[in-house]
This record gives sequence, structure tokens and C-alpha cells, in this order.
Amino acid sequence: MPEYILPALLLILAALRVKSFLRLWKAPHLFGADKCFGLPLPPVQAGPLIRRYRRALCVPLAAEAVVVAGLLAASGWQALVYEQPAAFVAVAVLHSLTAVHFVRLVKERAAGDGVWQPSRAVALSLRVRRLADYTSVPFETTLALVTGLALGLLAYDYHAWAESGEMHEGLAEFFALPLLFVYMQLGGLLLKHGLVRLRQWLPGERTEAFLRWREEALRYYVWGCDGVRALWTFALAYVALHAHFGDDRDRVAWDRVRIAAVLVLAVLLAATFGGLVRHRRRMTALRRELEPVEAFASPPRLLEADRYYLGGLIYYNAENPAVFVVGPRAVALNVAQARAYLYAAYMTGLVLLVLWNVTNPG
Amino acid sequence: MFIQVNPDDTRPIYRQVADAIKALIARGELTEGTALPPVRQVAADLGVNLNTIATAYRELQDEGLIRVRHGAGAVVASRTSAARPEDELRVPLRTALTQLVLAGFPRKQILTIVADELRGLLQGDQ
Repeated sequence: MPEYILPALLLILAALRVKSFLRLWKAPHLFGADKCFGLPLPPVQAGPLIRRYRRALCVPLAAEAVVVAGLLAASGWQALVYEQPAAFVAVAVLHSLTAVHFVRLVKERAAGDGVWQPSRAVALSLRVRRLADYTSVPFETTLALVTGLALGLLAYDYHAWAESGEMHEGLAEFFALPLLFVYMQLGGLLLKHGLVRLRQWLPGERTEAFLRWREEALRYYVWGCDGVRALWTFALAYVALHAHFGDDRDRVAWDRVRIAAVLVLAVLLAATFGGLVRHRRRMTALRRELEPVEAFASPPRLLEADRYYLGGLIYYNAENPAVFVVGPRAVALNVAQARAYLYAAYMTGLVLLVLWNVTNPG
Repeated sequence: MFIQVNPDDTRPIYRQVADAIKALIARGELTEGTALPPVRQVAADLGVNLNTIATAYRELQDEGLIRVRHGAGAVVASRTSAARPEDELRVPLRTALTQLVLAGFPRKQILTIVADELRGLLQGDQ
């Protein structure tokens, strides 16, 4: 791949992160300068809350700055290729949790002061959502085929080079990076499954508008998940093709592969971001129907408040079959369900794989 | 396709849930064979006792509207409930009409209200 591609991708990612951060920074005044997250909270109360909210937004970025400084000093800018996508997801999740937490705080204050009267009625969609409803068979088949072919090609090359004595890397070193890409791709599928199965009760007022907005929000995140999965699959295929044709093994074929790779990457990025922009526009249009009160959060009253632990990140209820439930900090993990440990094991495995790749580059 | 539970409603929660599901079936939004979330799921999502939702589902099952499969949730079994005598069915209608009359609504307005409600329920048939 041309040398400028990775820095260019990092720059695009940085621009997206800045845009996302600014949007969250301005979120308290999204529905007017005199409102706080859409509610008429008095400035004497809104001011300190908004300052706290903005400080909380900066905390993950400050932590990341320390990590980035350490990586730059130890491994150079190339280490950012691993760090930035992971930080993008992690910071986005933390920022979302922060925003939802502060919206809930604002609602509690507004309800306590009597400037806003929340509906006591709650509604629940009876629709049973399944992963298959949000899955495109041709898309999944393509991902599976490309993954299978790439791994097959890598295995073939490893075997051939080992027999000819050209192989200077161990099996673990050779497959560390491809394994990470496959793992990330499967992680995207796991995340998509969690998103689809996340159930949430709705406010009793304007329930249909809320449902439409939630559905569009789900499709936005599912599209993002699929886009990132496609990019990881592309990365796997690229590594396999590089191992087969690159490093002067077949210069003519490799030049063609590089041109094709740039084109495929451009199409993937355009499709992913184009789809995200399309869904974002629909979400914005639907959110306008919910203005001004119900910006983007659930009702202020938290059900089963005594079942949340560790600051609201953990939930325990064996009677609830859901793995992810709505909690005081947006979403909590129901550790009473065995599937919750699958997610925990996945995250542990991911950290180990990233460390393995950073410390033992193949 | 959602149900609503309101603490300010005078009806008990199980009755609100059962009535809401009946209305969805009557309107044709829940068709025969449609899967409903399991009792445990609905109870957890709404933050109410398991038995509350189980009672609502049992009532719907007794009326032949849903079929509960242990461990696999419930499905809508039929759009018509088990046959009940007309006199028995008239009682809740008479109670509702009595309340409208006592609230001072004129006959014409009561007829309009009834027609509106009926139109909403039967919209799936049109």
C-alpha cells in the first residue's frame, strides 16, 4: 500500500474525532442557549453542570494523550495505527456514557425543581429484534469468503516457505496480525449482536416518535459496526496478499494488487461514511420531532436502582435474560447472565492480542 | 407495536399489560404467529414483578389469544378470544357508557367517541 495511505487514514480519523468532540461539547445548548439539554434549567444550576460535563468529556482525552506520548516515544507514529482505532471506539463509548449520564442528571434536577414534569407512564416495544433482521446475507457471505480465502492463502504461504527454508518467523509471529484482524472483525459482530438485543423502555409520551428515532439510531450504529468489520476484513486480505506477492516476490502482480487495494479501500470508506451520514441525517430529522424536551435520553426515573453496582456499570438480576440493560450510566452489563462473561473474555483477549502485536511485531 | 404502563392508571399493572396486548391483537398489529417477548424479559424491562406479567400472559392464554411455550416465549395464537356469552361482554361496555353519560356527554358525542374507538381497533381490517 502506498506510504501515504496510513497517515492519510489517521488524519481522516483525527478529523472525525474532532468533529464528534465538538458536537458533544455543544450538546447542552443543542436546543437553544437558554436550555440545558433541551430543558429550561435555571442558569445557576445549568452552568456548573455544563462545566462538569465538559470536564468529564476531557478526561478520556487527557488519559489518551499520556498513552499517545508514551507510544510516540517508544515506537514512533506507526504505533498510532493500533492505538487510534481502539481509542476512537473507547473514547466514543465513554463520551456517550458521559452524555447520557449528564442528561439524566439534568432531568433529575429539572424534575426536582418543578421546571419540568416527566411522564410517569412508560412504554415497551413488543417487537422481538433478531440479529437476522439487521443482517445482509450477501455482505456476511462476502466477509466470510474473504476471511476464509485470506487465512487459506496465509496458511499456504507459511507452509510453502517453511518447506523451502525461506520462513524466518515462528507460527505465532506470522499469524499474530491476521489473528488480531479476525478477532476485531468478530468483535464487531459481537457488538452488533449486543446492540440489536439491547432492550429499552420508552417514555409514555411521544412513544412512537421515540421508537422511530431509536430504530434509526440502531441502524446507524449497526451500519458503523458493519463498516468497521468490512475494513478489518480488508486489512486481513491486504496482509495475506502482501505476504504472497509483496517484498519483490512478484513485483508486477503486487503493483496491481496495490492499485486495486486503494480502490477497494476508497469504496469501503465512501460506503461506510456515506451510510453513516445518511443515517445521521434521518436521526436528526426524527430528533426534531422530539424537541425540545426529550433530546436523546431515556426517562429520568431509573427502574431497579438497587440492582446496579460499580457506579452503575454492573447490574445483577438473574431474572432478567438481557446481557446489556439500561443503567444510570447509559448501559450496564448484567453479570448474572453467562453471556456477559463472553464479552468480558473477549475484551481480555483483545488486550492480550494487541499487547502481543505491539511487543512482537511480525 | 408497544404497550404502555401508567402508575396513575386505576387499573392494576397486569390488567394494563393484558389490555394493551389485546388492543394490539384487535388492531391487527400483532398477527397470528407473532412472537412476544418472554415473561421474564417484559417484567425486567418494565421493572415490575415477574408474577404481574405472568398473570397478564396467563389471562391472555386462558382467552385463547396467545400460546405460551415454556422457555421460548409466547406467540399470538388467534385474533379471536374464546367464546363468551354476549351478556358478559356487554357488562364492561355498559360500565364505560355509564361513565360517559354520568360525565355529561351528550348522546351524539358518545356515539362519536364509540365510532372513533371502533375505527381505531378495526383499522387493520380495512
